[in-house]
Amino acid sequence: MSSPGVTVIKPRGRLDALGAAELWNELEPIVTTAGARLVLDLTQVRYISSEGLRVLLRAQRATERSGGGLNLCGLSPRLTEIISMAGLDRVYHMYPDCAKAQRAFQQAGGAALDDSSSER
Amino acid sequence: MQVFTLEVSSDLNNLARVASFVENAAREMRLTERQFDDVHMAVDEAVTNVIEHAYGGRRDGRISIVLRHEPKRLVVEIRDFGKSFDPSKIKEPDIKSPLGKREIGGLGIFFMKKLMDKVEFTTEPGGGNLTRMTKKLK
Repeated sequence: MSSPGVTVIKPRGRLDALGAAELWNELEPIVTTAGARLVLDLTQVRYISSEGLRVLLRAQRATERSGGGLNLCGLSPRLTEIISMAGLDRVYHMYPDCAKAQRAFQQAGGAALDDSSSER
Repeated sequence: MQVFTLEVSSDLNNLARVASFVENAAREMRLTERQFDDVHMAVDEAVTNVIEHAYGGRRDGRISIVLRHEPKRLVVEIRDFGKSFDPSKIKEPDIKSPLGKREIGGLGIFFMKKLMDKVEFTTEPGGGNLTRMTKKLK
């Protein structure tokens, strides 16, 4: 179930270079829409490559440019570790709980609210 | 010493096949889950580099992957026959820079170096490249 005005996308499997390109094809029309608020539920993603991380970064920048935001949720411990290794834990907005990731948009009135990060 | 080899064409569709190959080899070599995760990602990044840089997205290039379980270490050799490239010259990302300034490139090499103990790139005299990565196994 998604909150009003929030799009939830749930990619599955491997976000290798191929999976990342496929995900971008799906995300591009969404993230380039003005004010897009997007939650990416990564519960079913078991691998993410550098290309996958790049797509998430590109999507986040696109949403933030147009006054929206991108929140990530449902990351496995390994995915979280890979993201931290690249220092992207200070960049992405990550929530363990997907309902919280959606609610954060309402609470923040449009901008992503990330209570785990001090850097915005 | 155990040796596992795979030859694939330079098609991103083959990355899943490469992952299964590494997974099967890791099981035979009795690697831990963490060791498998590290080697799998390093190989995935290296093969992606070859497809994108040595073959420039061409899908019919040849890539050979060898995993060698030597005493106390695992050696991975990825050989291609495409255009010479030197990934060691790619600037490493500044992982401490904030989002607005964050460069998007160079992360693949960064992970290969981070997850393996040694990464070497050699341009082969007859053409093509050799990516050699070593991981110590405790």
